[in-house]
Amino acid sequence: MDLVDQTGTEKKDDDALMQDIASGELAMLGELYVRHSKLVQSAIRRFAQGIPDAQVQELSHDVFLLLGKMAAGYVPQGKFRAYLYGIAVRTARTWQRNQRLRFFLLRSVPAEQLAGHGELPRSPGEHAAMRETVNQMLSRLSSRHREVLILNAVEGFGSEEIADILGISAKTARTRLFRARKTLLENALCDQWLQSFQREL
Amino acid sequence: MTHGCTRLQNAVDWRRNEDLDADLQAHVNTCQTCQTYLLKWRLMEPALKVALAEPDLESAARREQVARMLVERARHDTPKPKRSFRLAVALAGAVVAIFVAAGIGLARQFADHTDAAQTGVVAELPVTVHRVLHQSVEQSQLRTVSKAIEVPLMERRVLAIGDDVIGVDAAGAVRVKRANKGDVLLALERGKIACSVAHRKKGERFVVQSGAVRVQVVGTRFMVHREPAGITVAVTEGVVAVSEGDSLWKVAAGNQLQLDASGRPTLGPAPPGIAEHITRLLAVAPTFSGEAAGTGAARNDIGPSATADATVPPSEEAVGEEVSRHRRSGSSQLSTWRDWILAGRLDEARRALNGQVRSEPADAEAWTLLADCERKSENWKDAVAAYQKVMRLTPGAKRRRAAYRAAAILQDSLGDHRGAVGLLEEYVASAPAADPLGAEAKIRLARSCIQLGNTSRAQILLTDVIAAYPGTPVAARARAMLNTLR
Repeated sequence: MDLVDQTGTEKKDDDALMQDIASGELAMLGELYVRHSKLVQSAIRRFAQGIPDAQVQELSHDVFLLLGKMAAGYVPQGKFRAYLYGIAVRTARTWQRNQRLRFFLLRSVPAEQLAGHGELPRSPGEHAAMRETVNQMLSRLSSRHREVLILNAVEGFGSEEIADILGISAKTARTRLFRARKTLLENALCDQWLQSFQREL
Repeated sequence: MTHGCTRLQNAVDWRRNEDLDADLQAHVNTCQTCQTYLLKWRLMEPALKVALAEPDLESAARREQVARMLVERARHDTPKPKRSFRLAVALAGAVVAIFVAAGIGLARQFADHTDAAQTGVVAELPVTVHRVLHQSVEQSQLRTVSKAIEVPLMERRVLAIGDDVIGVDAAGAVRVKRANKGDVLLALERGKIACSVAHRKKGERFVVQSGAVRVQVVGTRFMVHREPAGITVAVTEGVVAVSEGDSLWKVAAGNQLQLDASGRPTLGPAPPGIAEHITRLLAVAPTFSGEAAGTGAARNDIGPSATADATVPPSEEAVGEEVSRHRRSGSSQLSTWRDWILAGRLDEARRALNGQVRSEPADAEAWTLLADCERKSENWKDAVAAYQKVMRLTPGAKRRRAAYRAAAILQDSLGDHRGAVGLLEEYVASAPAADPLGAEAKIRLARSCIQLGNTSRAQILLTDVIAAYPGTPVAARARAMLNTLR
């Protein structure tokens, strides 16, 4: 299905671009980068905790280069975002695993890169205080629950897509999501935070 | 919400489909738990989205630029052809290679040309790749020049192409596109490289291509650093020409040129310490050696010039004159002598360093370089004596390092385990907990203790290593040694 952008120009959808790449039109990879690099970088930052910004960009480039190589085997199902996000998550996890391995073997990875393990990445911004509170609440969740919650609430993926991304069944994704929400809503900080958020709005 | 109603569990995607099915809606109307759940979650979700939004790392213009760069990278990194096609190409290549080899009649050339037919490019000059790790150096030969050299974090690579030396820093990627006599072309894909380039005659080139930017030299030392934000070229010797499109800049020694992502140039003085940084990047020595980079590992295969230079040493007068000149120029003399050692000019370095330690007997740096020089020359006893001198002159980490190296020579080359034990005991006793060589020193010490029949001490040391570095290769080695004792 082709899309029409704000200027009235006809735009190909992601699946069509992947088919073009598979047939050798590598220039389409650039178009996909422009459309989705923010999503990929966001995935990497969320799943490779403590990763420096420069490394985020490098890994995001790797993800798109890998995407170009995998284009031939891509089956268009209208779930391109989830497919791409899945690649980014696996790349980020590999980086994190290697980073821990390096630390384990060499004990020389800068401590600040490992300090964030188990927490959500933090960044300064206008919602820094709010983010801090959310992080506190989310830190009470297990990493599995936190992942599905963020994929659903923040990145906007449904349970089927989450299942594809994380390599779990849709049923498991739904169960985790339900429990994650429930645990979060039962947190004592939650009501207080929601009130302050509404006031801020 | 504590009684645990889970009816909404299968409807977690309600956010996308506001209409819950009739049964579920009827349930929600009567279930206080589910009502609260839905109500609060509808408030919570947008709040989470705002609070956890990630900042955008790239501007739209930058994204477009990176997209173009990625397409270029993808084009250079094209997938391998299908198996049947590959087979056909290989067969055709083999036939061509057989004809070529038959003409030349040398088995060695046969192998090289078969390689050429399969990959398309063969280096005319030998390309030696030194993989510089935390505590060791591995060496290999790059036969073909079609593949990018990707350097992982925590490692470095030092490439010797003929008389030129290129240091690639951690997380860098460089492709050797041409490696012919007088004509070397490198493509810097990311990261930082330092180059020490032999003088070029007219018409000969050494070019570093980094995206649209070309850095061309005729004999110099410089560094190119490619980052997402732009490219920096810092020069410590000679002059380089940097071009991008129609623009051309000349960067002289002591200066650096920065080109930002939009190609805007900023020319200014190179930051202090850049010469030392370049020397470190070019050093074939384990990373831990830090400030004494270049003094650690054997480096006799740097290229044809090394052999040629070593066979025609300069006269004593010339060396003496150079030593005096360097004395006048302060600390740069040490870096020059270090370069000589790196380049295999060991006789010259020895003469110069002996002159230096005669006139300045307390110059610990000169003694260290002399010790390294003697070690590379395999003058084991002189090397140990020089390291012991360093130990007398310096405290702390430098003393420990000298002790370790002297002990390694005593143990590996002279078979003097008693001497090695003395030095290693001192090392182990004074090393901090996070010392990178701590485990190695203990294993060495255990080995010498075993040789001297002191197995109980060896067992204690090996058990220490296993406990302090669980699951690591060094612990596995310690365990294997311990098992042989039991």
